[in-house]
Amino acid sequence: MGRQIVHRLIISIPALVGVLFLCFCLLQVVPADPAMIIAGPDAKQETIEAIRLELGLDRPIAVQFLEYIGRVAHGDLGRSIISNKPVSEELANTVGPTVELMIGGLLIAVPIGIALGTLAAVKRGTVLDRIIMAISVAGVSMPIFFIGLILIQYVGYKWALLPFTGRTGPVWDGGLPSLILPCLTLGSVLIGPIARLTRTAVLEVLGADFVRTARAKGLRESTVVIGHALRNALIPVVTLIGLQAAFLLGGAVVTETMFSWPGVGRLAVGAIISSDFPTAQGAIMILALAFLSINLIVDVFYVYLDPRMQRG
Amino acid sequence: MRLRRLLMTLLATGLALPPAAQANAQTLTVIRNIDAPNYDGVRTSAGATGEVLFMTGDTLVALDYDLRTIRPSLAKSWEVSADGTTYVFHLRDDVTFCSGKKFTADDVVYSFQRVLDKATRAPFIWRMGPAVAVTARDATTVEYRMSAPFSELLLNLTNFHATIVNKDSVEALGKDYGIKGMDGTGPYCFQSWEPRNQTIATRHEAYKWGPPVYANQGPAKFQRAIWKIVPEEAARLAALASGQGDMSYTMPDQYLPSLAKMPTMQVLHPEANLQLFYLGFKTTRENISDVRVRTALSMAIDRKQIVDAIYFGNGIPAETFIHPKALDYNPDTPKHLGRYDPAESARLLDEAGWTMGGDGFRYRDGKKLTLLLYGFAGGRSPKIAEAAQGFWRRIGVDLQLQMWDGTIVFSKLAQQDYDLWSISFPYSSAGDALRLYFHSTNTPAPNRMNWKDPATDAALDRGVTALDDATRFAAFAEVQNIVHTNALWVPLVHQGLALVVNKRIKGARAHHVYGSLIYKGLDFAP
Repeated sequence: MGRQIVHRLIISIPALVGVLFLCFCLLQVVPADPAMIIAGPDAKQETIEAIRLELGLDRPIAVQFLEYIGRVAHGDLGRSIISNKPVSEELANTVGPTVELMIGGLLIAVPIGIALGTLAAVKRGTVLDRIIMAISVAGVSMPIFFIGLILIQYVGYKWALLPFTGRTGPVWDGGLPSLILPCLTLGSVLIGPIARLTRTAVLEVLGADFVRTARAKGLRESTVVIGHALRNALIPVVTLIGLQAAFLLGGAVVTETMFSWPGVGRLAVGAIISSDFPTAQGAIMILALAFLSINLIVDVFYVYLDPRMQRG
Repeated sequence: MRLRRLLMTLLATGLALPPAAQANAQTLTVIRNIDAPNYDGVRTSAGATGEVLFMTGDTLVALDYDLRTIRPSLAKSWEVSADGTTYVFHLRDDVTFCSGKKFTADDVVYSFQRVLDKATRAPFIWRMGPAVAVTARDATTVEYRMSAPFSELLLNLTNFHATIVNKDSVEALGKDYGIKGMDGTGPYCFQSWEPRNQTIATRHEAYKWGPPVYANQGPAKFQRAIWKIVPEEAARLAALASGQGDMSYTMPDQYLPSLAKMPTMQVLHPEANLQLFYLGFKTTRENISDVRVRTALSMAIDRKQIVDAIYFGNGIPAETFIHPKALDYNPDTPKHLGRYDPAESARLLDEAGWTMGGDGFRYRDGKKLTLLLYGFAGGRSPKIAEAAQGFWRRIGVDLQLQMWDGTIVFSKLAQQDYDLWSISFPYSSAGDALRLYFHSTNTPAPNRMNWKDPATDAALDRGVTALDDATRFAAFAEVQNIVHTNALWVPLVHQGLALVVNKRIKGARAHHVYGSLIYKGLDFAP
């Protein structure tokens, strides 16, 4: 297991550098000029040129990139060219809220999705099965902003039950109420896919020999379904959760905007809009790292669920 | 109903909205759409920075609600030398910073030198005039010397870039000044800033030097003020309607009629809308180099339709570049540019040699009258450009639109390959708008018209250096005549500004100092 993790970590490094290089190039080819944005719409040309020189934007892209990689290797992500704030500090302040949001979304989506999928499989062909699948299809089909708007409109505004305008603090410091609606929004889009795949996987396993054997041994149906069928059906579900968790990073951008959540997604979008290259690069690096980490965790779970998948 | 019962249960178990998250009676919660880049007034021209600095800091002089009368603030009085080049400010001696440090003339000198220092790269340095020295005669007297008179110095010193800062705080925080902290003399003290989430300030208990603009000179009537960032429009509306916010002046036009009808809300407007949306002409481009063509284009647009359909009534059709209530507005400015008269437009185009072809477009010497417009891809800009396209199509003009994302629009506007651009801009007086946009020394930007006219320059220079109000007015009035007669812009809409306030807030009135509708908010009360 340890060797596998080390191997995955090593092959992640070139992937990360590749992501950074691509982002760096993309930000450079966009005809945006951060110097002009800093100087403002009414600035004179000489002011803009002076800022460009000071930021080093006049040098070749390759030189700028190599310098950037060198600084990152030393833990220096630079300063925002808009706010002058250290990028590492901006990231430190925004990673926590995004992680909170993702974990909250998963904590809502995974148990509910697996429970609904398993129930639909066990009750296959019944009205309950059809209702659960209808809900799943609706969940897959509805865009995340629509669900967010419905929750804001009813839970936040009409019933005035929960706040929806930003983060009031960490979960352990009175921030739980402000976390609920964003997590419900983010989690709701995952419930459908997880339920659908769980249903298919459980149905497949329920027809297997070892399940018939378990039933023949006289085990209770709940033990057969949860202890035997579900565990074996979880491998594709874990894959899906891994993939969808990465998708959550994209969903988090929309959710963070809707609920004024101060996370990495909004930081990245804001930085790109304002051509704040150091901040945008830092945010993209963090998102890429999160993506790679999630994939690593999924691989580890595979091995846990099916030891045959361990590397020789 | 089950869902509702479940949520009510959550409420009962204490998970739901805690008292702190509701609009606290002693907290003024301002909802806004974007955050400030930082809170150091010399490093940015962002309005989002200004609205917080006006409440956490003070300037030497203040601006009254009429947007033209200068009132005392940190300076209780001032004198101007006969040649208009030296201002002597007499400061209050009862002012303290939030840190408790006493405010003196040295703080004014330090604050102004910081703006004037080229290394600071203050975007509003030009608002300080041709300053040559700022010195302290004694602890409560400051001398501000310039190489030439600057008639609008006092008006410009009401802006947030001239906020007085505590030297000790600036030097202690270094690059983090305005990010991790700041020390001002305003009615509220900066407490914390969580970028993209909220900024919190607490009441400055010692504050008693508010400008006579307000009935209450201090301290502020709320214990604290919070500026919350809510980028999503529908969420901003819900936040105001549900009481999670007290006020906002970043509500989209389409929501204002509904908000005005809500029994809990009121929509307030400032004395004047000093914000113009216009189309500018690059006069050096062949197809619009003729003033008759530019005039025809301006007269072919029905501004009322634009105000009704795009602004939902939140604006005034613009006949002139300057709002009639702005300082030094010339009531005799030619107003033909704002008249909707397609027949006259057609006549002017015919006269200029652009005759209607069989395909409904105009041609001259076999060349079609095609124009290219650059503009912002967001906000009202694309809709207004499309409206202009429709109106001009009726008189045989082919307007092509290229709308650019906010990240690149100013790079594109810096080029010379287009005929028109669309943009809105705020200003504080006729002189403020005219000298920035029409002086030949400001080509190619912000004088994107490439307008180089010695008469305009001379009148602008006379206005800027005038020693009395009448001379200044006469000079700026002349400029208004010149630029309107030459149809350099298509004035479209004096954009409406609206402060949406929950009626629980007493004493609310909309200001408009450089786009900030709250200003110091000293009369606002729970």
